[in-house]
Amino acid sequence: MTDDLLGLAAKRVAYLDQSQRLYAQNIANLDTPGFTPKAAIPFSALLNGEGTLPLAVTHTDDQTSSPPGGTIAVPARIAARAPDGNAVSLNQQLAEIARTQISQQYAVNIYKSYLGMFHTALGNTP
Amino acid sequence: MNFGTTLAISASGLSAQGARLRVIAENLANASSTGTTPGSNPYRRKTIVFSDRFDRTLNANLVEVDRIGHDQSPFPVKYDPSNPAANAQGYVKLPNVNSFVELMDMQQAERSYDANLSVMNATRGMLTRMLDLI
Repeated sequence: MTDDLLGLAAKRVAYLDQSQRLYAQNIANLDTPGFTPKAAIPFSALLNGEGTLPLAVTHTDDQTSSPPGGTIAVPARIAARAPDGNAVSLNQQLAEIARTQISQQYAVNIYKSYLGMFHTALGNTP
Repeated sequence: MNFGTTLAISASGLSAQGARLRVIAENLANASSTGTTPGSNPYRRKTIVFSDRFDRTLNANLVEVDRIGHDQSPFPVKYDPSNPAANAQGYVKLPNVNSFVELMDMQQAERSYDANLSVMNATRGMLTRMLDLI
């Protein structure tokens, strides 16, 4: 399925949101013995149908219901394991966070510019 | 978008590291707390262990304090017959706290705290950019 540019940008942002969540989990568990970090699958793999994004939550009344499905997590490649079994590399995770941020800014700017083009076409000033 | 979850994950990391700092502070504060009666045991160093816990409502792995234990290593002894905690031979048991180990631990806790805070800031930036679209 081909998305239009707005749909693609929205999907990209949702994907980056999920990635950010994974990296936040890895960093929160920086000192948890035996913890193995997770990594996100590449965005191209997601577009090819691997992994799924979670469904949007429309109401939050029922806190006990199981959360919406979807996962883009795969076990991360491990460079080294600390004596307590923890395999999180802070440098690697922070680099991923930085990359996620830049990509998100990029996607949001594309979305904004594309909307601006609509505004121009319709004769409105954005 | 569900940036609230990401912020909650980082917040769990912050509170875990905070608990760790509290334990370190206790250890350092009691680095020379000997017993009060002859031959009694001094302060025993506390240890802290984290574990990851899956939160069903957030659908994420949070970090929490698994347990606060006690370091079972032997107490060093010092010859000090005038101390009220000295045993019949005049030796006093000192706490098994090593200030250097505690200081290193503190540095590590601080570094992890910083890392979680950076993630929080990054998430906040992403959230702000999304809100700027409106």
